[in-house]
Amino acid sequence: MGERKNISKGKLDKVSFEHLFRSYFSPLCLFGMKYLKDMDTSKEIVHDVFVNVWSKRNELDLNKSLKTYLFTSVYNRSLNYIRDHKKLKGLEEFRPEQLEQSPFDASAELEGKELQSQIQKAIESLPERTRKIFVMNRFEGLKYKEIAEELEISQKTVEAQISSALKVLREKLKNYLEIAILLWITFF
Amino acid sequence: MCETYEPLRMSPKEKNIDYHVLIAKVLAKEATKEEINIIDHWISASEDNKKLFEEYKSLIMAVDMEKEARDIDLDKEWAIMKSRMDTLNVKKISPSIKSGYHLSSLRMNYAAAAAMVFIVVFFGLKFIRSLNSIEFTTGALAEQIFLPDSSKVNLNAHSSIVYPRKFSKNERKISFKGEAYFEVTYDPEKMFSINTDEVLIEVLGTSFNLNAYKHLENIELVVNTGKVALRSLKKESERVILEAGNKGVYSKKDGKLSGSLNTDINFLSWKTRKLVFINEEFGNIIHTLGNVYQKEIVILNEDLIPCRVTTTFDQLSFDTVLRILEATLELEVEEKESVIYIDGPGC
Repeated sequence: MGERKNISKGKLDKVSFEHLFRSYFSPLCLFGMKYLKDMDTSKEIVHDVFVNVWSKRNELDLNKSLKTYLFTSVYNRSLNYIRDHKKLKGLEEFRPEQLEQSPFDASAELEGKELQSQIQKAIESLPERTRKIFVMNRFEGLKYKEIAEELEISQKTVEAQISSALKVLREKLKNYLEIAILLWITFF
Repeated sequence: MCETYEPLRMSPKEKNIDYHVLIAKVLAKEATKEEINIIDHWISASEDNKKLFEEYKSLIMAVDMEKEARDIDLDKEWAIMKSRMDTLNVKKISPSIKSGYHLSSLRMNYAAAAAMVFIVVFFGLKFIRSLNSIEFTTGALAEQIFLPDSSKVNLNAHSSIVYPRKFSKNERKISFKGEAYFEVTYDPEKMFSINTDEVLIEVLGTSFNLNAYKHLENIELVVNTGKVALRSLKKESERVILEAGNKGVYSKKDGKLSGSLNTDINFLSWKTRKLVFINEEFGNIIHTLGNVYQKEIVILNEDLIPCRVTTTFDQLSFDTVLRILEATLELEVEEKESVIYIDGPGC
C-alpha cells in the first residue's frame, strides 16, 4: 500500500496521521464489530486507539508495522470492553490464540477493502427492481410488508425478489464468502 | 451455475416449499414460527443444507458489514479525532498546579489552613472535572466541532463550550457561552441540555441557533428544525416551548421569557455568510453586518439610518460588502483603530 512509505519513515506528523486515520478507520471499526457487535462502541474504541497512537507518536517504533499495532490494540481493547461489560457470550467464543493465528495483513485487507468493494459491485449488478427491493429491505430496514405496500406489489413478490437477490449475490461472492465464514464465526 | 441443492424439497407434503425463499425470510427476521421450524428441520437433514444456510448467513452478515462501513462518515470521524487531538495538546500545558508550598511554620493559623484546604479541594475538583470534560473556545474565527454523541456545533467567534469526554447514560449536559448553531443528534432516551448560567435549553434532537453572548442584553434562540424547551434558571416557572421557525428571547434585565415568530432571515448569517436584506433600513443592515463580521461600525450621519436597501451578499468579504454599500449610497468610509466610521449624504 502506498501509505506505508509515508508512515514508516521518520516522525508521524499530522498529515501522515490523518492519512493513517482515513485509511484504517473503517476497517478497524469493522474489525471491532466482530467482537463488540455494536458499531458505536467499536467506533469509540477505534477513536481511543488513534488518540493513543497520536499521544505516543514520539515513542512509537515506526519501523514496525503500525497496522498490526492498530489491529492488535483494537483487539485488546475490545476484549477488555467485553470483559468489563460482562458480555460473557462473546467472551466464551473467544480464544486469545486466535490473535496470533489470524493473519492481520491478509485478512484485514480483505475484510476492509476487497470484500467491501466486491459486495458493492455484486449489489450493483442485480437487476434494477431486485436491487431496489433488496436495498429497501437490507439497507433501509423496511419490512416485507412495507415494501409491498410502497411498491404496490404482493408480499409474495417481495419474498421471491429478495430470495433471488440472495441467490445471485451468493453466486457472485462465493469465493469471498468462504473467507467471510472463517473470519466471522463468532457472529449470531 | 447449476445448484446441487436445486429442488430443495423433502417430502410430498412440502413439495411447494422454496427453501431459498424461506432462508431469506428467516435471515430477514420475517419468518413465522412454523417456517423457522421447517428450516431448522431442513438444516439438520443434511450437511449440504447446513452449509448452504451458513453461506447465506455470512452473505447477509457481509452485506450488513458493507453497509456499516459505507455509513461511516470519515470527514466527521476525522473532525472528532482532530478535536480530541487538540484537547490532548491543551492538556499538556494547562493543569500545572505544582505543590510548591511548604507548611514551614506551625504557627500558621486555622484560617489559613482552612483556606488552604479550600484551595486544594477547589482546584482539585476543577482539575478532576477538567480530566473528564473538554473545554473548547473560539478566538476571532468561527469553528465547528462534534460532541461525543456526534451532535454538530458551529461556534461563532469568542464562544466557549464545555462538554464531557463521554456523555452519561441518561443525559447529555453541556454548558455554553457565546453564539453557536447546534445540530443535536436525535436521541429520545437522552435529553440534551445546555446551561448558559441564565437559561437552560432542553432538546431531544433539533437544530437551532443560540445567541448567549455575555455582553448582550438578551439571550436569543431561533429554532430551525424540531422543538426546543427554553427555561429560566432564576425562575423555574418561566418556560417556553419553541417550534421550528420560532424565536425565544430571554431578557437578562427582568428574567422574562417570550416566544414569537422569527422574522430575522439573517439569523444564521454569521455561519453561512449569506445575508439577505429586503427593503431593510440601513441602520439595521449595519447592525447585522457588525454582528456577522464581528466589526464595530459607527454611522456618523443619522440621516443614513432610515435609508431603505434591498440586496444580497453571498459569501462576500467585509471589504467587498462595504465597497458595494459605499457605491450604492455614496458613502464615505473610514477606519480608525479598528472602528469603522460611515458618513454620507443620506437619502
